[in-house]
Amino acid sequence: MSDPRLHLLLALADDELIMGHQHGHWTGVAPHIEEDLAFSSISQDEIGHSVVWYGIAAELSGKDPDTLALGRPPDGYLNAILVERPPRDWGYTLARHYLYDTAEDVRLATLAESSWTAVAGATGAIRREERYHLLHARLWLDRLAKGPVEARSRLVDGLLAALSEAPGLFEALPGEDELVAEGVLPVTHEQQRRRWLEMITADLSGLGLDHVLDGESHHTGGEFVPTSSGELLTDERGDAANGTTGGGLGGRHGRHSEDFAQVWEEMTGTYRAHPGASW
Amino acid sequence: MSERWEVFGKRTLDDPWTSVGAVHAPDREMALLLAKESFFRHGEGVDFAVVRLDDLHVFGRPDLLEFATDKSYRLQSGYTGMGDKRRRAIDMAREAGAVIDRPRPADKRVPNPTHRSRGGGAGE
Repeated sequence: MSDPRLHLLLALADDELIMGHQHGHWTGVAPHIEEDLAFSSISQDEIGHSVVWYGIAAELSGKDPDTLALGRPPDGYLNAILVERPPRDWGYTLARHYLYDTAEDVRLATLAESSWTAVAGATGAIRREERYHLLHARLWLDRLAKGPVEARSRLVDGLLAALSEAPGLFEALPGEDELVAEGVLPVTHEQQRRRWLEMITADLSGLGLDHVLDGESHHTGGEFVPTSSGELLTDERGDAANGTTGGGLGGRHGRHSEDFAQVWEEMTGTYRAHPGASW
Repeated sequence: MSERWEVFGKRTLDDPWTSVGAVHAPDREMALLLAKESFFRHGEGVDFAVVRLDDLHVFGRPDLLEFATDKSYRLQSGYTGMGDKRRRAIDMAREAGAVIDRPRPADKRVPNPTHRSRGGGAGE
């Protein structure tokens, strides 16, 4: 993959496709029917965004969009490791949804200024849908943060786990210097990561959750947390297991976690079983 | 825990609020968030609102909605076959020697161009 532009598009598209794929596991089993519809819609939106990026990548490479999306070997995928993780529980799912969509907001705001007009133009429609995603993510973040205790601790566990791998969303691309020099990428991923960190720090501080940014769970015994019913309950949970994997880096180079094999099998199985089939 | 919220939508901004269903949600913001994807994910309208079920002031007297006497004249079904009735009346008048020498008044209803045609009706 020598063309940095194609690399940029595939990183964007693969993130969206696989995030949508993983969110989609909640269809039919989300906490309640209304949320089932809302989250399934968000999942479909993300896959729809991948179609936009694969479309531009197809024009650039002369390859079929379906082949790009589903016809690559596992090490050809450039998604961040964060998005390939299984949904675990609702706390992790929402934490990742929040971190992913805030990161996407920063990423799209950056690309809206791209010198590459096809890319800058594509951000408009995607950002309109992202407004709902952010609203959804922030409202859930707020509700879970305010309790009851189990909701808040599961959210904290989810944030800790997802935060440890979220930097992978901003991993520098091979050929990034060239992209920045040409104005295709108006600012580096590292600068985007800092903008994103400011954004989430503001949100998390407002909820008294900014300690998770230091990797601290604060699940100390005897801490009182208000619940939605107004009662104060004692949080007796211990520290959460925090499976860090070096910042979740590697994805932009096609290096993935042990979870990716299953994602790839499941996601590309039908495509591989029926090559060239028309949908 | 979760309250029931009635959801109302508008197909166009000029339309009145129309009930489209209900969602269960713990608060107003969550009800609005969830109503969007529950009822408006196929382009069903341009706006919507939620009302807590408890905030609907319910009449609750079905007995007062029943007809105690014949009210068929209030129902559409009491006005079927009007064209035939009118033609019969004209024939009877003609046989009796009466002449209708004034044209039928023009239809003064103005169709609203922003409303979708519901088939037939005005303009025919």
